[in-house]
Amino acid sequence: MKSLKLVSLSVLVALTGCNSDDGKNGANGANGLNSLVKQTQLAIGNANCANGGVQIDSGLDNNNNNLLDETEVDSTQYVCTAAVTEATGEALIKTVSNPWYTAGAAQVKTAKMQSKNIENTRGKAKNVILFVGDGMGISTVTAARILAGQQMGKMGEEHELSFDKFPFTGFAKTYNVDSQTPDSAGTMTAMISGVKTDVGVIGVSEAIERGKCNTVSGNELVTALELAEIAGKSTGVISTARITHATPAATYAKSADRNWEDVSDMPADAVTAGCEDIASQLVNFEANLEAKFTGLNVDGLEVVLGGGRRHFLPKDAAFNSTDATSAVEGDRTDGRDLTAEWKATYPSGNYVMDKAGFAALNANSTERVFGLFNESHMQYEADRKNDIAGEPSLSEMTSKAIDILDNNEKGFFLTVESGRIDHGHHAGSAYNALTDTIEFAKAIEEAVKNTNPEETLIIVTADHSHVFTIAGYPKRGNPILGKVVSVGQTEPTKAADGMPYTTVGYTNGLGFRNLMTETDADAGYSLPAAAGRQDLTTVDTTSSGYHQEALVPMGSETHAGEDVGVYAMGPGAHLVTGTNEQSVIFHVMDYAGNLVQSAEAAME
Amino acid sequence: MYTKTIVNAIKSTTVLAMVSSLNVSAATCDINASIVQAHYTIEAENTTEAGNTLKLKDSANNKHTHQVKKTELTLIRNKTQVAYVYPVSNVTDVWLKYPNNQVTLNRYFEEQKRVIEYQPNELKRAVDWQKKYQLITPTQIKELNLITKVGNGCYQQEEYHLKKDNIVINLSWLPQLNLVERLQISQQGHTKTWQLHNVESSEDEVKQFFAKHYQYQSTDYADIGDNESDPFLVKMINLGFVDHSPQGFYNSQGDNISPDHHRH
Repeated sequence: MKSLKLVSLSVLVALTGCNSDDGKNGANGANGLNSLVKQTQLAIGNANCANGGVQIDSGLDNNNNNLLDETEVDSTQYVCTAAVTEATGEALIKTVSNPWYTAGAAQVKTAKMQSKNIENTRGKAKNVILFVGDGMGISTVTAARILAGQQMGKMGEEHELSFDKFPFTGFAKTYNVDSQTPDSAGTMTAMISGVKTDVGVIGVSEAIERGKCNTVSGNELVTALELAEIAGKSTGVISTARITHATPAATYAKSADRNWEDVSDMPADAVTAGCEDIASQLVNFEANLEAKFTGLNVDGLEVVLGGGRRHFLPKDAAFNSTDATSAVEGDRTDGRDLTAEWKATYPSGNYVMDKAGFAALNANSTERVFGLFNESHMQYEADRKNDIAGEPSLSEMTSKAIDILDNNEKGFFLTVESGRIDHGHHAGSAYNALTDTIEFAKAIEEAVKNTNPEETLIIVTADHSHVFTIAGYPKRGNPILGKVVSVGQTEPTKAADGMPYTTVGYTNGLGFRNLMTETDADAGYSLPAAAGRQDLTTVDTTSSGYHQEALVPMGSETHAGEDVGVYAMGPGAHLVTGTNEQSVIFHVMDYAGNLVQSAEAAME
Repeated sequence: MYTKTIVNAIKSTTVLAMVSSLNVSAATCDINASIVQAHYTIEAENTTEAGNTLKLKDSANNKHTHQVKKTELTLIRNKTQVAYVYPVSNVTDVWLKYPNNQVTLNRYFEEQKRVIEYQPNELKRAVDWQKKYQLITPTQIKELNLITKVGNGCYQQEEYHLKKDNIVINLSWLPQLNLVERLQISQQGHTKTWQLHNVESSEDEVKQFFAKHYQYQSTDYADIGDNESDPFLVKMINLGFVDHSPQGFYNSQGDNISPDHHRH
């Protein structure tokens, strides 16, 4: 406390002086009182000075004790410390220097720049690539991200898959018109045609009746791939599933049933009524499209890569490929060899069926390629090394396809499906689902690297999700396929039944299988569903043969009905933001690629 | 490796009594062992004693209980394919060996004329082709003690025996046909016996059998989950494979005691 004695007013007056002659001295007056000033520091949070400051009390020392007692205070003033208006100062250093903080601030700066660079002009995307991870719900993306990071030696959660870095993200509502939880056929039809439809149908609207051939005519939809073809772009379809499977089929075929992959799958009355099987529609894509639109002249699909060779060959062992696994590879009962028909239609095209044939393709000189690398679906990425004749990976197929397609000055339209994430989940194998997702992310990275971002719209999404969950409270960096080990612990956490549990699991399905330790020759899936809990104490749940526990016993795990992510970069990418119907994806591609108008212009 | 059943003395019949349609010479056998049908009866016996958690004890009389189950199995070989036909459950398992030596399974449902096709990576990893091909592997035979050899040509029969720890194995083996004539394995109250009662060597019949099954409507195992509209497959999705297990061989406690089923 500081005190200040002030001289009496009489002295002050005397010191100012007067200009007249001095008069006689008067009698001495009584002594005056001292004025005292007291300063008190105020702490942060004081009611009068929230940021702290100084309280100044002043008054007369009435009792002459040289102390400004409380009763002597005549006036109180406050001088407060100014509020902080910028991130400076000791108080905030810990926050603003934290790496999370600086990373977040940088991210917002990047986002602001990206929002300034939004390309809102219609038709700026010369190229459009739609990537579909079949069954790749949000939990699958998260878990795959962590697994990919952990495989690189990181903790995992902070890792980014290729499409995690895309600037624009939204959600798609996946339900089919007649089904709360959808299937791939109705969902891909929605994405590629802009029209939501029923479960199980390909390229046709909800007005049809599934399985009824006579309801197809008049209800066919036009797809973005077809519009791009009409507009003169190069076009391609890739899948690790059979190329006649629902997702790729929806890009080029119209069918009352997704299972009509070749003529032997169709009921006789459907064949008689003139419905064409999906494999036949693939090789007849050019002719069928030209037949739909008078005067149209297109050049057909430039790139078709996937599995499903059996649907293109006759049911005759004489037509077996060199890597056939079945005694009779082909399924077709009409005697047609569609690979031969394709070669006859496109004599300068390349038909390939194994890794060597694929590797020999020169993208600069390849006009078109038709690759069928497996009798049925291609291998899971984790099993690709076991393929008899060898298969290219999804990222290899994507890279080669772009190299072939981008030879066209008008650009290209390409769909790429990772078709077996879905199968991994149906089998209750998180390992297969996630490793296929990681390869899918690599394929997307190839597309990012090999295209011009200013003229290429890339959309990554899923058709639907799966009942796959990430649960418990595992500590940071805990192996995503491992058992839950809590923060600060080294041993797995036990559930109420006294047994450990994995972080990832399934709501339904076949449940627990440990295929790495069994030496018995029984088929893994010939055993009844083993739903419910198992003692995992000595089980390596991170192994490729481990299948997670499931709650509800079923012979196959099911799809899930929640929204899926839509990730986009390039012209028009911002249009995916928000929660939209899945059919909006078509309209984003149309806007960015100006597909409808370009096709109409080409037909004039 | 082996299932376990009670020891039971079963007299082995001679090859001559069982085999039909053989064309043999004194020293050689001109049957193509890779294309052949072999018909077996499989008998599984459980005898439990007091204190055994698996017992079917008549607590009132405090007796041991005895349970015998019989089934039929036809093993049909066609080079790199071998079919296990289970008449009881109306299911046929066809095991196939790929050129790269991977083994896979096609499961045929006879009543519905449908087949589910598996990929090798969808099966348990260590599928032993030899065990599927001939019920017992060459390695396992080598572990047994050869007691005697009788006959010649297709009739040649080797007798093996092993008693080790609590397991007793008796094997009558037909080396020219690569077939088990009789195999009995006993351990701790459980005995299982495979008894060959007929061999058919008609290659035409074998080829017709497989040709007929090639016509069945096939579905990849991987596609089952996406086919909820198919009544046959949706039953598989909802009910699992319990109803369609080829090993339709359950005791009163619901334990699977079928051929090739191994408990752990």
